[in-house]
Amino acid sequence: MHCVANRMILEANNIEKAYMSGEQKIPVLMGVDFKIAAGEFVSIQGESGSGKTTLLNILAGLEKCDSGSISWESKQIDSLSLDELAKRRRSFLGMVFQSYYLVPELNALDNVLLAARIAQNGISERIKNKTLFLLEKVGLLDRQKQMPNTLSGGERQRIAIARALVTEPSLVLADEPTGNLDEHTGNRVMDLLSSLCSELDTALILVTHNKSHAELAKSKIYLERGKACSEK
Amino acid sequence: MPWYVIIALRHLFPEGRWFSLFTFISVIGTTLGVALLHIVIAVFNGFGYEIRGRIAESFGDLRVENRSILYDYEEYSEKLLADDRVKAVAPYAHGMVMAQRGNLPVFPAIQGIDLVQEEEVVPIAKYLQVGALDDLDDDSIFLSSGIASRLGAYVGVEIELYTPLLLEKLKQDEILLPRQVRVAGIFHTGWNDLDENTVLCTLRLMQDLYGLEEGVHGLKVRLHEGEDEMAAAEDFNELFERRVNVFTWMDSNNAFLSVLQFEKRMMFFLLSFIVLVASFSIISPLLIAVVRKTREIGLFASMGATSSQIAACFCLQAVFLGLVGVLSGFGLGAIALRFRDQIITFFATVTGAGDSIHDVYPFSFLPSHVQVSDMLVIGLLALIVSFLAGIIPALKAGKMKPVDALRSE
Ligand SMILES: Nc1ncnc2c1ncn2[C@@H]1O[C@H](COP(=O)(O)OP(=O)(O)O)[C@@H](O)[C@H]1O
Ligand SMILES: [Mg+2]
Repeated sequence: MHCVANRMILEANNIEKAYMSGEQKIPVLMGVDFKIAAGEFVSIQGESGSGKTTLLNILAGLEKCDSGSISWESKQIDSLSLDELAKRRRSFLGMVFQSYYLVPELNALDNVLLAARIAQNGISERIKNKTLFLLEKVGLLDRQKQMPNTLSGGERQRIAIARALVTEPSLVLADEPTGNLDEHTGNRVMDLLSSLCSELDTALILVTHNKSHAELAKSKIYLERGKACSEK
Repeated sequence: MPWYVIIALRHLFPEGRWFSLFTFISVIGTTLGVALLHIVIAVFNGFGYEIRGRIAESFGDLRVENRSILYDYEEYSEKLLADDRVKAVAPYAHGMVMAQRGNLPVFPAIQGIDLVQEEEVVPIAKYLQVGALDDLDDDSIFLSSGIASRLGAYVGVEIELYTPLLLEKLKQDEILLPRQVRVAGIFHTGWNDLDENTVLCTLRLMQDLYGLEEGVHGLKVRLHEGEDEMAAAEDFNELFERRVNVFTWMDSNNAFLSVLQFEKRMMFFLLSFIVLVASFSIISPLLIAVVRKTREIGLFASMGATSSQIAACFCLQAVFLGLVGVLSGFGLGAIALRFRDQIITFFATVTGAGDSIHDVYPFSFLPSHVQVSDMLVIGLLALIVSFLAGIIPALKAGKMKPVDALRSE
């Protein structure tokens, strides 16, 4: 492997996060270390409530951790405001959610284009082609004019995957992307996500409950009692 | 187009549906508010316009006076007529008299006019309700409707006129008898000041009554349609090197016109609260929309939207709703104004008021005059208020934390 592949695109050290529930402090993450290299595929597993989503949100810069440090492409982001993080997020990462989160007022094509619109204030010819390429890849090129409510769950998630990739991010964060899908559809969606990411040389962090999906990853992480470990 | 504009438009006008209840409900208040303001101001303008028209019509566009007696008025008249803008000029003499019928005295303003020339400047024939222009001779007068009713006078009645000249003569120990005149007609201009307290006579008679010999008090000037009175007055003042004073009907009725203007401003001010209230109908549907779209807001944030962009998305919706409200309001207002006579007739019929409405109002129809400047103010006002109404939902959307938004169920 050449050295570019080993370049760390995201590193997190000693992340701590606790939520306040009334007077009571509920620790969720208690010193989590995490890193992922360019093009790498890492899966995160853990029981419900173990803090997987919390970790993902912190890595994505959607939320601040209580202590610890995070760097994106070797640049420290801890001191940035949420708005500054939002701007950096545009081209750095894409996200896929359990319940798709397509904008119901936009058709499939516009949903994908929305990510590009937010990222760069307008649509270039290149982005248009990229969008059509991705819609083709997820097998929905002929459904591009359909509204989300006329698509099945699997189709919606495939649109969401195209949307996460259209900005050509270095990293995709997927939080239980197959959680709402039946097994067969889930497998197809997972295949698509992992093969697309490796084809486009995009790193992927996958949170999943599905062992076989987690096995697809090069490295696996388990969250347990606020700590991350690699074996179980 | 920035993404938040696209999203704002899509929220309001969802693809594939021409009608959105949400949009309709949010807009209807502004529509009605703007329509109402538009209609009321247009009708108010209409009355003002109508009244101004009547003043200018009976007053003449310009008058030329020298605060004393003008003997060489023919000379001025010729110079005025030489100007392209001037359509006609007519001399007049005016003052006060005491008119008495039996033992009932009134103190009207009197105006002596040259009937032939006057007709070119002021449509007196149109004003005459009773009698004919030709009946006016040097021994008769026309009474305004107000004077006629106060004296209980009608055509053919004899009236005595006492003038200041009588007192003047008295001081010199001469006695001049009051002038006996016959009522030859009764006129009504629609301009209250004149209709309440004026009598008209021939210039000859007025010159006699006031001892003016061949002099007059001034000239009334009628300009061609659309000429600017103000500019013309200024030019003529220059032309005559200020030996005489040339002034417009507006200068002379300044107090009245500013009352009219003031009334309009007040009306506008009071009615603008309707737009304010109406725009509140934008706030609550939009607030509900923000809550309904919480997860979408989280999604935007995850894709890199800043909080100000998200706020802008919802504030813009308010502005768009305002814009739709303004346009539909003007549309509705225009339709109502277009069919105002039918609407009034309809209500008159339904309420059984019948023709009595037309007796009460000085106008045989409801006047309406739409001013673009008023529309601009109304439109701008509604848009600004909509924008302000959008700030609350926008702040709510912008302040949402991305993670909380994404986690919300
Ligand atoms: N905003 C919050 N306020 C309080 N507690 C929270 C909040 N968000 C998450 N938690 C708690 O943090 C823990 C981890 O949540 P989460 O990261 O969603 O777990 P997972 O995704 O692994 O199921 C849970 O116990 C949850 O109740
Ligand atoms: Mg979770």
